[in-house]
Amino acid sequence: MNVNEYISSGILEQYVSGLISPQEKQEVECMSHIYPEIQDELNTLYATFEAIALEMKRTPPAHLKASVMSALNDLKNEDLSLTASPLVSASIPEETPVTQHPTTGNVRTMQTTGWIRIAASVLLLLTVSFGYLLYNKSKDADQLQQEIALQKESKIKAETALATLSKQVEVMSNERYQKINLSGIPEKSPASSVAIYWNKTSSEVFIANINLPAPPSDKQYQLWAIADGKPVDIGMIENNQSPVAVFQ
Amino acid sequence: MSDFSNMQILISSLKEKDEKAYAYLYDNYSAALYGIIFKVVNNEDDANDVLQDTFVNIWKNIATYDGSKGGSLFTWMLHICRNKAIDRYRQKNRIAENQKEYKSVHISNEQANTTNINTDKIGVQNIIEKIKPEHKEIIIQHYFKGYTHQEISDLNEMPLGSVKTKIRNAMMEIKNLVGRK
Repeated sequence: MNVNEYISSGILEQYVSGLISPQEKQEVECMSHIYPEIQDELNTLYATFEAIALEMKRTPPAHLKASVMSALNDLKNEDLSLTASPLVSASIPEETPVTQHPTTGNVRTMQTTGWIRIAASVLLLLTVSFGYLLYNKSKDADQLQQEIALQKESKIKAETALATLSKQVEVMSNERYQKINLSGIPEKSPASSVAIYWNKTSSEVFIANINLPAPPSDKQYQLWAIADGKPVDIGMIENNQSPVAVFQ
Repeated sequence: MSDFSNMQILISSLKEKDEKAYAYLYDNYSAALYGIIFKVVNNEDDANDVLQDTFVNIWKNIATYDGSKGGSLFTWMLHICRNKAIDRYRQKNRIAENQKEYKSVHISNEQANTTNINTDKIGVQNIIEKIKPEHKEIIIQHYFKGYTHQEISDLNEMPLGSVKTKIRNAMMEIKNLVGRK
C-alpha cells in the first residue's frame, strides 16, 4: 500500500468536500486510523476547505436573523408541545351540573330481597374463582412460552457455536489454508491478536483466536484487506464470532 | 451567560437546543455560510431561504454531529449549507441548459463588512486571492457547487485527467499558503 499514492488519488479531497459515497467514506475513515499521514493530510484539507469558505463570506441582510431565530423558536415550541402533550386527552367541563335523581316512587328497587343477595354473592364467588383459575392457567402458559423461547435461543446459540467449531476444525486441518498471525499495533493495542486462515485457491478467509478489546455495544469490528494497493472491505465480525468471508 | 467561544460549550449548548447558542452561531458563522450559499444560488431571495433552511437543519440534526470524525463544526455546517444551496440551484436549473452561464460566473472576493468569524481551526485570510484564477474557479466549482469531476470537465471543456490534476494542484497551492502546522 503506497500511502502517498493514496493521498494523491483525490479521494481525500472528495471526503473533505463531503461529496463521497458511504462506502468510500468508511474506507477513508479506516485508512486515516491506520496511517497518521492520511489523518494529517485530512486536517490540512479541512483547514483549506474552511479557509476557502471564509474567503467568500458575505453578510446576510440584517432582517434575516430575526426570521431565522423565529423559525428556530417555532421548532422549539413544536418540540415542547410534542414532549408535553398527553397521549390521551379528554375535555371535562369544569363544573358538571349534578343531576338530581328523584327519590320518591322508587322505594321498591331499594328493598332487594335476601335470596337475590345470596344468589348474587354465589355468582360473584363463582366468577371470582373461575377468573382466578383462568388467570393461573394463562400465567402457566406464559411461563411455558417464555421457557420455550429461551430453549430455542440457546439451541440456536449452541448450533451456531457447533457450526463455527466444525468449520474451524475443517479449516485448521485443511492444508490449503495458510495460517497468518496478526498482532496488534504496538502503539495502540499491543496485547491484541487475531489469526487468519487464508485459502489462496478459493480466496476464502477465516478468522479465529480473536483477541481484541470488546467494541462498544453499537460498534463492530470490520475486516479490511489491502489488495492491489486499495483497501477492500471483507466483512463485519459479529459478536466476536469467527466469520467466514469470501475475499475477492 | 455561557462562554460560547469555547467549542465544547457551544456544541453541547446547541445540542441542548439553547437559543442563545444559536444566536451566537448566527452572529459568528452566518456570513461564511451565506457567502457559500450566495455563490451557488446567486440571488438574495434564494440565499435567504437557504440560510434559514440551513439553521433549521442544524437545529434538527445537531445530535448527529460527531466531533471525533468528519471535521469541525464549521465544516459540518458548510456541508449542510452547501448541499442545501446545490439542491435549490438544481431545482431551478439544469446543468446542461446553463453551461454558458456557469462559465461566466464571476468569482468575486467580497469581504464587505462581515462580522468577525471565530472558527475553531484557522485564522487564515486572503488565500483565495493569492491562488491562480483557474485554480480558484475549479475549487469553487468542485467544493462549493458540488460538481463532479465529470461535470467540471464538461463545463470547462477540459479532459477528465486534467480536472483531477488541477484540483489536486489547486489544493496543494492552497495548502502551501495555509502552511503545515
